[in-house]
Amino acid sequence: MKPTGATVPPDERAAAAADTSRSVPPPPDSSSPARTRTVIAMVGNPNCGKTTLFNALTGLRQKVGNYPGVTVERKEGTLNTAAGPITLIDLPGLYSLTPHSPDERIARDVLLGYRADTPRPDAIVNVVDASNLERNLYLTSQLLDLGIPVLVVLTMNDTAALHGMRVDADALQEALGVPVRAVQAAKRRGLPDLIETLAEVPSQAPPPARTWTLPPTAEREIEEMAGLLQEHDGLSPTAAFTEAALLLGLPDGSPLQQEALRRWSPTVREHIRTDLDAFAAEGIDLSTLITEARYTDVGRLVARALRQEAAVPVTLSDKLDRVFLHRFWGYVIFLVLMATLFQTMFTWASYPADLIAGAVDAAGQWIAARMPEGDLRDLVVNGAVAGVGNTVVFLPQILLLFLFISLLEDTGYLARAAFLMDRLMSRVGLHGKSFIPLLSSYACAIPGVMATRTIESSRARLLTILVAPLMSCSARIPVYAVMIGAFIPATLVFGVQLGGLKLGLTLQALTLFSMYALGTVAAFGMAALFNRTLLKGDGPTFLMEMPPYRLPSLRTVVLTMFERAWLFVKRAGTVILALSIVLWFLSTYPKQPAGTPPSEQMRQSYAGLAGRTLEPFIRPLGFDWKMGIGIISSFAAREVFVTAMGTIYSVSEDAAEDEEKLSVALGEKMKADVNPTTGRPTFTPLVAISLMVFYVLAMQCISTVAVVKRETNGWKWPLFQIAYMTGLAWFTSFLVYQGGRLLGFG
Amino acid sequence: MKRSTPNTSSAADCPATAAQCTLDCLGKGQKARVCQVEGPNRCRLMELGFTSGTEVEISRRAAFGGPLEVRLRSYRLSLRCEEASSIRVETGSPEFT
Repeated sequence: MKPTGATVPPDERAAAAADTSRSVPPPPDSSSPARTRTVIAMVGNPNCGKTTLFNALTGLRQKVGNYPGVTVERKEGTLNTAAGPITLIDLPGLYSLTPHSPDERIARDVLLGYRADTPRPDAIVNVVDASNLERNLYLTSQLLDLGIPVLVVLTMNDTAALHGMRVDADALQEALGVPVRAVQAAKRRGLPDLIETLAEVPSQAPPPARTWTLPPTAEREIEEMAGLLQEHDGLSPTAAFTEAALLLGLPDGSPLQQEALRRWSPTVREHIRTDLDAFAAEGIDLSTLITEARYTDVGRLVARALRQEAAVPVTLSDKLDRVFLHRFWGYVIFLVLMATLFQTMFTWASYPADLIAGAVDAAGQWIAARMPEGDLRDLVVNGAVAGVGNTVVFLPQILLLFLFISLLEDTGYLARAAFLMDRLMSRVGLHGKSFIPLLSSYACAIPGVMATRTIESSRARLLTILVAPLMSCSARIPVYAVMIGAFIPATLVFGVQLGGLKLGLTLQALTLFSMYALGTVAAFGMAALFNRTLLKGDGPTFLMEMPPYRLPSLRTVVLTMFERAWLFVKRAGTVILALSIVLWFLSTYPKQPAGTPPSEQMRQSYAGLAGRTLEPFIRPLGFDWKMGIGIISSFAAREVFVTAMGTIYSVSEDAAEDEEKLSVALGEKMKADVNPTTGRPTFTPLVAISLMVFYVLAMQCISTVAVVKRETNGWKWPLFQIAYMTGLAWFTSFLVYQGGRLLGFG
Repeated sequence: MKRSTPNTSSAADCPATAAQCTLDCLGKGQKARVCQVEGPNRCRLMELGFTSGTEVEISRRAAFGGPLEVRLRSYRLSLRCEEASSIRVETGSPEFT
């Protein structure tokens, strides 16, 4: 079987490996000027300081996007050197060339030249964390086998010093046979020297022959396999050795091995099968031998380059962790931090959000004043501007959340939070790192879904995305406010009444709390259900490095925040604009004769027609066609419910200007509404609760749908999410309404 | 084509007489030496440094049976009990007692 379409044919790869100094072949899309330049990939373990170095080298000359087909961030930047501009690609962090996450797979595919959309790099900058030398050099050992020139950059030398360690760059350079440079990226120390070396690396000779060795039988096996790959798959000697060592290093019988074997010719596959069986019969596992051989060789390098003080000092990180990971205080601090984060997202974000809402209004009016009256003006002002405005209002919350997340990530606290929360999360198949995305979904599901990018396990990440919109977001608050204000009495559930002052819990507060609790319970319950059914499989693995605490680099934090926010604006912008226009159209057409009251216009519109068509389906929940219109228009954003109901109930114009007045006036009108056929009130407290329950559980937010579509790469999961959430909402509201009636309420 | 994991040569690296257990059985502060890694995460655990003969120390255990934190090759890694139970270690060596 030949390699699949997405991969570069082996002969091309062979050519690339054989002559590494030549320029990259012209790509299918030659519009990007970067392709003709020298390309250097930055490679390293996660948390090795690679991104800080990348930012220090490229500054703002960066392009951030996605690798096609996956949601792995793709970062490219330009570095100006004496020899001309160089394209730097910041590859996702990886522990080895045997991928265990989508991030690692991308990095490996680029390094081996498997991806058609990214050129195989001309050289590699391997970023190595000096405070974690041994494990970082394991990857180096694999990179040196690729036959591409390598430059090793030592970072975190200051952290190493705190641990009583010092890495001798010269000794390491001599032992490895490739240039080694030490830098302190955040303070820009060592950068000029590094840039100078960097410019020369692509024209350097490939690294010297490997120094790790295997027992003779295993050595012969690698050579034999490399020979077969040259003969049957047309690989160059270097590429054939690299691939043979990687292939034999994969665990026997694993899906990774099966995937790798599909790449090569049948002869190679049959041969490897027979040989591995023969080794297994003698009790030898080649993958173990290869990993151990590399670590043995790394041990030799470390012995030459690392100076370790006899006594390892207790570091600040150790002292901090005694508090932050304390079995009691650790949780107290975590809860206080999360409460602060959550509160800040609500309060700080409301000022800029109000400003944006005001600016959108002003923009709408400005345009309205300059366009002739008519459908086009209506479309632009009420469809496009208002629709996009509804989304951009979330931007402050998104910026703040990402500011906090990059701070938590860069200081190293995120790993601690995951450590503390993992037990709770793992019960329902989630990951310790699912906690923060779920928590931020209380503010808004959009940043919550985007924050799942910190979860390495793709299964736990999908599970988190699927349940995040069930957490009660801030857009539901206006709906709760109207319904609770109008239909739930403020009687005391427990507490004391002192004159007009009520101390304690009122029924209103209890109802609001119940809605939040319902969303949370539903999210965990559905996660548990999907974990056991739909996404059944081995539980996500939780192998997480605990990096030392670090002072975050302001530059990196701010850059990360704006990059992610920009991705959101670009992403959400297109789909939301389109859907806003559709919704505007549905509630505006067909036009009624001039002079028709707005409520009648709404009733006769397509949205009104849909509401009336929907009525038989939502009648068992206690809703009529008016609520049907409310539910449909909520797809733009849930708070639009209040505006839509305001239009239907013809709440006077001046009241509609002030949201508080609107909800009070609307509440009064709703209470007075009587069903013409039965003569009973349309809204009762039971209907109000049923409606709120529906709003807690239903997926009614096109912005979230758009973001989920982007983050999961397709329509499958967002459509599934709409289906299951609507079903869940319908059944729960049905149970609440019908159960309530049986019990004699409403 | 799925086959059981073959016996590895590293099993021979632990003396038969040494006291053996799995990593999740160790308490905070206990040290041990890796004998053998099994299970679906074997490859990744070995790449992260759990090769036979590596010295490991349990530096922390989370409350309510949560993850463990292990110190090895001068860095810290946290892993769940399930994953830790796939790592066989020996504690009998005199340097650990």
